[in-house]
Amino acid sequence: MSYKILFNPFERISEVKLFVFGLISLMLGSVLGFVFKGRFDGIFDLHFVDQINILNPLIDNVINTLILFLVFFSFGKYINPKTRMIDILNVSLISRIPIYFLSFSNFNGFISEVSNSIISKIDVDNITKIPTFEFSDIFILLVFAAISFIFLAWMIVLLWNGFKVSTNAKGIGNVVAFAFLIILTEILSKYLIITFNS
Amino acid sequence: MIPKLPVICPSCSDALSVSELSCSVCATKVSGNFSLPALMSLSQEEQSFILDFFVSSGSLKEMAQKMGVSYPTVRNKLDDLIQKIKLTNNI
Repeated sequence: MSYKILFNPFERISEVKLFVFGLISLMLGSVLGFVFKGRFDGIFDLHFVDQINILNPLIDNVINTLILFLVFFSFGKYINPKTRMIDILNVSLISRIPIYFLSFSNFNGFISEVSNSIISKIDVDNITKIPTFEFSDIFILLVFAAISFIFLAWMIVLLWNGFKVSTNAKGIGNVVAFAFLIILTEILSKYLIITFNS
Repeated sequence: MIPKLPVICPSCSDALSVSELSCSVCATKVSGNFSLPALMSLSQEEQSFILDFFVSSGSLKEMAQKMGVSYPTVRNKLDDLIQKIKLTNNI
């Protein structure tokens, strides 16, 4: 039962509990972003920066959540007029929790240091020169990429399961539309964050 | 153990109909050809769901609390059941 809650809490948990938990997660996720210098500059994005202020990650997360909500509520209403706002809002809040966990990877500036070490090996004045990277740096980056992939997959599973429960969506057509809308939300959130919160 | 009433023919999978009813008090038997009510085409679980819906005065919120699931889960189950009944009874 417990593993099902991780991938589909929307089937069993009431909307009030999901909303409170989702809201607290958004706040905590934003705090984690500030502490570990992470910017959530897109629905599926997390980039670590040198300078950050407390409001940046919070506004990032609010924009990301709102974009998810607006896009998927519109589509949800189209396929099922009985779709409720609170259910889609909860999906938008809860599905972002996996990406907040990735902030921990920059504990003590760990991933930032590895990234900077790799970037410093690239000779920008002589781009054709093949850089010599430290094996440990590449290994760490690959491990981080693999872990990130797992958490992003978890995020998409939460998003789909939540959407399916909220709208009773069925059939391959809705799955394909969902995939397109994910891409749309990423583009929209990226544009809005770059324009208004860079 | 309460035996389950079969509604589908195990031989050709068509809907079964009632040909004989009997009285357990006076042993009177009535024979004919009576079709089963629409609700009988549903599984035991589905019939229980409909009864729970009726007893809850149609409150999906109350049903969700009783069943320990979320409101949209109950709503989806009801919508799927409505669709099934419409299809099987050509409504």
